[in-house]
Amino acid sequence: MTILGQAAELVVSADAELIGIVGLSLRVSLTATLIASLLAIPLGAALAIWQFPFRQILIVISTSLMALPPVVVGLIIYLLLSRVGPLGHYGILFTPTAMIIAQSVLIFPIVLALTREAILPLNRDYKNLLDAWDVSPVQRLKTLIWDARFAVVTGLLAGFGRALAEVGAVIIVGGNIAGFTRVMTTTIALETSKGNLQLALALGIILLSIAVLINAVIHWIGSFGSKYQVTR
Amino acid sequence: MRFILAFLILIAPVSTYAEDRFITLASTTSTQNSGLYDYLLPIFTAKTGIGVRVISVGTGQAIRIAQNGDADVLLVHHRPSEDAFLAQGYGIERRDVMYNDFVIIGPKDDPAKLAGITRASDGLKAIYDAQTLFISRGDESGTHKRERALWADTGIVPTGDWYREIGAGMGAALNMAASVEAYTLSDRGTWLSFGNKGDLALLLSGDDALFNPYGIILVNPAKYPHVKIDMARTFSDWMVSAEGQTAIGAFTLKKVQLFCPNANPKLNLKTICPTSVP
Amino acid sequence: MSGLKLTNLSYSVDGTELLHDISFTQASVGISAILGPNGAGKSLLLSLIHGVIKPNMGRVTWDGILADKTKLSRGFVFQTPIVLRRSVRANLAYPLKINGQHSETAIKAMLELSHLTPLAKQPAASLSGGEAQRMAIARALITKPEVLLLDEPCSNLDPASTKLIEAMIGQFVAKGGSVFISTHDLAQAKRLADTVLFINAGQLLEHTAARDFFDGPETPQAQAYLNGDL
Repeated sequence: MTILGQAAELVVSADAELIGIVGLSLRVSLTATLIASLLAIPLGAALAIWQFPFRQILIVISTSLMALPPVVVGLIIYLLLSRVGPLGHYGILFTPTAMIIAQSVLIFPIVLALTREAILPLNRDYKNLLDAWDVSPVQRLKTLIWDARFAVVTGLLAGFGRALAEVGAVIIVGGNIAGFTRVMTTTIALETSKGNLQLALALGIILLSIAVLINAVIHWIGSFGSKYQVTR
Repeated sequence: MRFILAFLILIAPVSTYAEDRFITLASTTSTQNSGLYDYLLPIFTAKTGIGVRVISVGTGQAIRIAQNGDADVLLVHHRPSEDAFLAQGYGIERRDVMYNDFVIIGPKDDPAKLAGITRASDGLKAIYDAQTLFISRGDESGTHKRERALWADTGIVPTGDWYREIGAGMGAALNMAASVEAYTLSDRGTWLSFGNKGDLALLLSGDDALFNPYGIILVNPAKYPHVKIDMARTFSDWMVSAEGQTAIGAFTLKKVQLFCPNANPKLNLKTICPTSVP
Repeated sequence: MSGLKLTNLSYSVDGTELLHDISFTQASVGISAILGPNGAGKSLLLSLIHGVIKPNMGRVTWDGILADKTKLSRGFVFQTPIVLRRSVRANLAYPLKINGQHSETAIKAMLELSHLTPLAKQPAASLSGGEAQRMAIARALITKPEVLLLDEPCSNLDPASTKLIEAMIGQFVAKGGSVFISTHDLAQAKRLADTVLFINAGQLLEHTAARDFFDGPETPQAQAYLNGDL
């Protein structure tokens, strides 16, 4: 009870540092989700709709990337962004930008795979109709993505959840700098290492609450979207 | 499209937090976890307007970050590694800043009977003889390097079920020691600020071999022209100035002073160090 | 050269010939029924006439132009109505939208024609089979095609739904449109068709006026089909 109480106290007190940490977590993960989605949704839809060279290879690669541990993604991004790395002169290691890049890479395969899965059956339904109307490739993408939007958004939220929950990548490329790159998960890791288990757990409960909220939204969107699905 | 717009509005603040006047300090978890930087840096920033972004990792990793040019200044605690860093031309202008000491932590009931032993190497030997659990950081941190040096003094090569290298930070090592009732070597600052002591107690300290000095080194701008050498030097100068040194000496946790400033022996600041620190 | 012309049309998939050497001409007027037992190739023939599928041998032309070049001037209604996961109204608006058009009056007229005005805002997925088929026909008609191709539009529908759909077809023809419809319902074919195309096992066996076909089919296969023996 004391831990729950402490979590509630933390939330109620609306401590500026805590708000900053939660805010940064959300902003970094939301931005990463947006960037990953802008690329992954059209590509995932294209993989579902068309046959093209390297399609199978792309699918295998993207599916494998889903199994990539965040810490490996973090390490790769770290090596790329370090001053001695190929992108070092931009000087973005240990900044939120670096964290956004790492999380985008983490989210990309998830959104890609879930979009592809959402579009595949829809494309089977629609294909003849769209063929009959000679719908252009761009229109076809837009139509299928729009009509699969509930499933696509579900994939997007799943990616967002993964980004928000991961610690391995952001701690390496962000450096867990207080007030600058410190997010919820790295704070939890830090407080655990300081032996402040109660505080760490209180933060964990806040993270859990956000996860519950996301899943409630996913569920709600899913039940809303099912109204539009043909069940006949 | 509306979704995307809403998204963009939501994330817009992300691009606004870049401040130009800052330096990146690669340092150790021992200094960070104790809360020293939370106390010290606001004073420095208020005076100079320079922000300090601290990356707290093990000494080994901190040095590697600096070697890659990803930090402007380095504050660590392993003299041989620091000297190698300087010798390889990565760093310039090393200065003594402060020190504290390492301590041996173990279960309160002290199965290896460390109480009464004064020499650290004798303490480790007692642990080895009793074959009680010992947690080693195993992460190339300053503490880990010191631990290995102490084992070398005993002539014992620590291996076996009782010796567990966990490859993690000081806090993780203390957490594990608390849960499996093991001994471990810690810096005093982390130990004092550690919140999950459980049945652990400080069992051995005060040996000169446990002396733990911290040095500050600037990353060589000849090697990495992008480093913010002026601001880094301002920071280094302040750390060893009377003001900085006094601030370090004034930092306490639970009314215990954690670090002894020693940049300028003439100030004789050692006199304000607690008796617990040699 | 006006109307539809098929020249030595064949179609095979993976080496299996589904349609064999079909040739005929048909002035684009009135209602043509495509009859034949299951698996005869009726749906495929409709798709080829529409142009959504290209033949792999022979050619299909409308007014001398290859069918797949002009398919947008013909509407196609699939046997199982394809329902876009949108509202009824958005389903009707879709064909206009993809061509960068929009017409409230056209949408309103098609909602009236298909008797779906009260359901306009419903998700199309909530429609019954008959309603969905009416929507699909209205959606095909909203672009004002000259020809409408219907693949068994009334299979599995009750008489009332069938009647509504036949009324929609009748209105379209009355305004000068021509229709190709495949059906298993001989009574429906008798009611609607001016011309019959009878195919069996991928071959066009009869192409004749509807009355002649039902009064005295020439081929034994057609006789057997009409007697329910094929």
